[in-house]
Amino acid sequence: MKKGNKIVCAVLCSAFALGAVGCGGVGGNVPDTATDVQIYYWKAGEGVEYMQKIVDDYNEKQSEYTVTLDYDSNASTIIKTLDLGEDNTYDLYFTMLNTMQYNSEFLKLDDVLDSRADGESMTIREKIYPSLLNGVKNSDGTSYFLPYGNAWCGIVYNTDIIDGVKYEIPRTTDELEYLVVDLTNDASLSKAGVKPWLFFNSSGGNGYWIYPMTGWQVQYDGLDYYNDTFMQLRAIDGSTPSKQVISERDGRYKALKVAEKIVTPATVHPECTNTNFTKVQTLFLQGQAVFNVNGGWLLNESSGTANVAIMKLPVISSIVEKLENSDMSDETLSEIVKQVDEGADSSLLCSAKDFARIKQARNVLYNNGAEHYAFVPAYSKAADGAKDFLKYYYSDEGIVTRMSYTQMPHAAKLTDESKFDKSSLSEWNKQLFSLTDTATAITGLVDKSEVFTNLGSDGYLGISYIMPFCAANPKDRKDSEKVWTALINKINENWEDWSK
Amino acid sequence: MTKKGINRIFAAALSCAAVTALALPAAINAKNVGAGSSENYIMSSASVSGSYINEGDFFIKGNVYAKNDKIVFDDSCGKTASIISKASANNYKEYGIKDLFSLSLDMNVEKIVSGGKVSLVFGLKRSKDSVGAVNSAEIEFTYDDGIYVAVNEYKTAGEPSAVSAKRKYSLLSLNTAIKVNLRVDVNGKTYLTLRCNDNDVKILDGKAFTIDVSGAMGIVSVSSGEERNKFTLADMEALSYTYDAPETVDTYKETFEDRGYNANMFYSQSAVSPASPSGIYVENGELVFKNAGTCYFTTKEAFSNFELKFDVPFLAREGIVADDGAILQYISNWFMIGFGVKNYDDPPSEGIQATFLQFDYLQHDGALKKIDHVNPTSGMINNRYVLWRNGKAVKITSMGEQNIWNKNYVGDKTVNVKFTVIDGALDMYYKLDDEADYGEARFHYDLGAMQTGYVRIYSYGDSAIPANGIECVSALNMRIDNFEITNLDKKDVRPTGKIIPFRSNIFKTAEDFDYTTKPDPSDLLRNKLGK
Repeated sequence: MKKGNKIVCAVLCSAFALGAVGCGGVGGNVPDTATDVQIYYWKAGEGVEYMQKIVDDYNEKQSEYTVTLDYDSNASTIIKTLDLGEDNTYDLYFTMLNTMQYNSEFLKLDDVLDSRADGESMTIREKIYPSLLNGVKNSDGTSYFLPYGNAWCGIVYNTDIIDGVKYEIPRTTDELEYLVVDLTNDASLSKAGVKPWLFFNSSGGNGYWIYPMTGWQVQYDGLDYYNDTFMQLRAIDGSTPSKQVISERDGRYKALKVAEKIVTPATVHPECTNTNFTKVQTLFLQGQAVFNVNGGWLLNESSGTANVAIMKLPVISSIVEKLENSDMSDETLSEIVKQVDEGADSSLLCSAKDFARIKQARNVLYNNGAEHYAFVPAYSKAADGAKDFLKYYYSDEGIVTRMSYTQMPHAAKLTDESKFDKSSLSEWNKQLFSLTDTATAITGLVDKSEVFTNLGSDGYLGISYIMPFCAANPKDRKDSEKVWTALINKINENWEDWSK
Repeated sequence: MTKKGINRIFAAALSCAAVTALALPAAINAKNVGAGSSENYIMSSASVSGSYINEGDFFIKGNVYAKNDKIVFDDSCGKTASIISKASANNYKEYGIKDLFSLSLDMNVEKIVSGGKVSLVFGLKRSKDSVGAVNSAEIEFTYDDGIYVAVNEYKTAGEPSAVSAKRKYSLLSLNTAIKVNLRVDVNGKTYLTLRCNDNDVKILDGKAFTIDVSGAMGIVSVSSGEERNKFTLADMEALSYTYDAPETVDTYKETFEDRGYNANMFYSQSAVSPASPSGIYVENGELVFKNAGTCYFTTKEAFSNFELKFDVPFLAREGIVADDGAILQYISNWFMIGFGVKNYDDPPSEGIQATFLQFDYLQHDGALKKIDHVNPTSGMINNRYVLWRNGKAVKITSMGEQNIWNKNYVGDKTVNVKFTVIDGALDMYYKLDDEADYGEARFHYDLGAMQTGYVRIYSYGDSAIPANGIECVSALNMRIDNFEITNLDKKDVRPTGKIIPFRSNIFKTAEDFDYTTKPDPSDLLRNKLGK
């Protein structure tokens, strides 16, 4: 049997320190055989218990392969094992990746996608939600990765405060802006020390803000533009990478304008300077703020007394600039969004084209499930076993196990929805499942410009924006224009290298 | 904890209020506030930079834009165009604050169209309110062969009633800066002066509104027909006040008797120091900082306005070095008095969020990077007070000759330290215990805003031997006594009488227990088993 993760970590450390892997490779005292499948799993907010149960069940159900599970809460530690190449004994990974440099060393998993779990009628490709599957596909449609998570990300709010009576859930970003001001000036909230926003920042980075920011970017530019033009940095003539596309004052700028309006020194909790996300989450769940930027894993990681829900992303008010009726008032836009929420297919308030645009915007929400990658190194001796385990992971039985433990949706659908009872879920978890049925996922993409791949960056190219918007020291405070200028300057300074 | 009137809408501008105060107009500098208040910017020119207006601070409608740091209304604007503050002026009359707000701005009018008007609005209660909203007011500018000014209040939405009747002011002219100086006190009494071409036009001199004009404010341009009003705004500053009065004790004095200190009221922490032994502890009725590197003694109650007193019966002013060169006692490098600390157990590394006065005495020699603990040279002595805020030094002054490290001045006497913070203005005093009074403050600085939080004495020294060697360790050797803190928040608006029960910080040592009972032989297992 292969040893547990603690041994793995110890061996890993010494292996890297010595620069040698003569002790039989990473993984410790494990037989590196075709029948021993060793998994390395990133223990994130969803925990590890569900995966251990799936592994145990799989080992119980069959005798051809023996699967062992190692895990670490630090993805970088996991990713480092890929540096070992053929000396790496891990056969199957479930982790995020901050680099795509190893992709060519992974097996394509289309055969897994086109297979069926025992006794099931649907292929795994048919079971995995299309938007998540789209996030992991290569440009030729093949895939090195399978998405294993399904976590909706965005603005989480305190439903005890945004109760639908005194304060209503905003449908547009202008409404969100007004709401934030009203909450800031609410004397009773002020006396209780409650601020509109409490979020963590990642050492000068933007924390989880990339999720709503990308959402607003997509709302403004459209999902097709985001996937096919922006993420590819593809010019009109088809050339890539296009400096013109990456420099375009597009939905990213409009999203910055939204953030500038709602995140100010006055609207944030003092602990927004804290980089400890668990502390920030705990304070939020204790009711010290109205909004937190987070994801479906929040209540798996932290707990508190406040009742919370995740908000459908308010439609960016500047979307009207892209509509046929560019003079549409925000009140009208809000009313159309309301009609969308009520299930309308058209509106008397706008053209069919505008309605479709608004409807798409209303229903997009970031999902980072496609950035949770399951993959198999090509040098794995137990690749067949790893693939066999994946088939079980995406089987109804595996799906039910994961959903039962995490109370969160899976990346894949059940062939028979009645196999999992959602009625006993909390309102929070019911909402996550509901979003899976109704929302369109914005995801990170494997198929994207090498500029993004090489930088390991999102559309803001590592420029910090959220903390400058709310910096208490006026010398540190920035507005959208200054942030955008910094972004353009960075492009101009580096484009020659980036575009090689 | 009860927080009253926390409303830092313009924390950005506020945090450098003391710095910018020099540049503010006289009307704003003339503070008229009560103890416990913080300045709170409702509008600030800091929000306008070049051609950009920070929309975190304003609602902007009708294509109002900025150019050369000025806010511009022109032909490109909508028929109705406005810039309205997101922050509100709140009335803290009950807390003893005298002014509701003061406002100044420069307005340069090129054109006000016939049938149109430019309104400086205030008292907007809701985020979507604009000119004419119920319980709001306006200063209305119109033009008809001259500039007319009226001051109106709206008891009913859209129905103005004159506080100052509309009339033509011939001293006001187009294409010339008109400086608006407006002050409204908490009773609604209003003082409005317009200055143009060095002429003051007094519009209101204490006449009161009949409505509560607290709320947001801004400028609204209402044009008529196809023409648009054309004017610019510059140097816009509107200042209001807030009040913080956390619920805490009226006063508390800790004398550090043998029972330790009250752990319900205070907390201390000390990190490892390379100078051994080290720590912070109570001994002989005093709180001892022994070779303390990073350590703190802090209140567990938050204060906004307070007076802190404590005695310093001992401070290591010179080192002791053994014959073999071992340092037996380090000179105290520095210590700090911090306030506005966000969490009482924040380590000093997170203290950058707080504000603190550093008593900064010793550093290593700049060239040799060494410290002579017996005879520190002038190159090793900083001898200064440094006020830090958000990790930056905002004021540095020399301690002078009569400083707490000067053994010729102090001798073997106890030093009495007094530290007050009122309305964000801090004053630090000390005297020798045989001196009658504290005299003039040895350090003064007006931060312009409250720094509500926990209060602490601390050191931020070394946790490991520095590269320069063991003799360059930053350590604090000091004893303090009679640590007394008094709440100076306005008495009639804060909870009073809070009692903090005593709980010693010292773990009790259990007395030896004398086992006198004898076991019953029949209870023994072996007897029960019959073996």
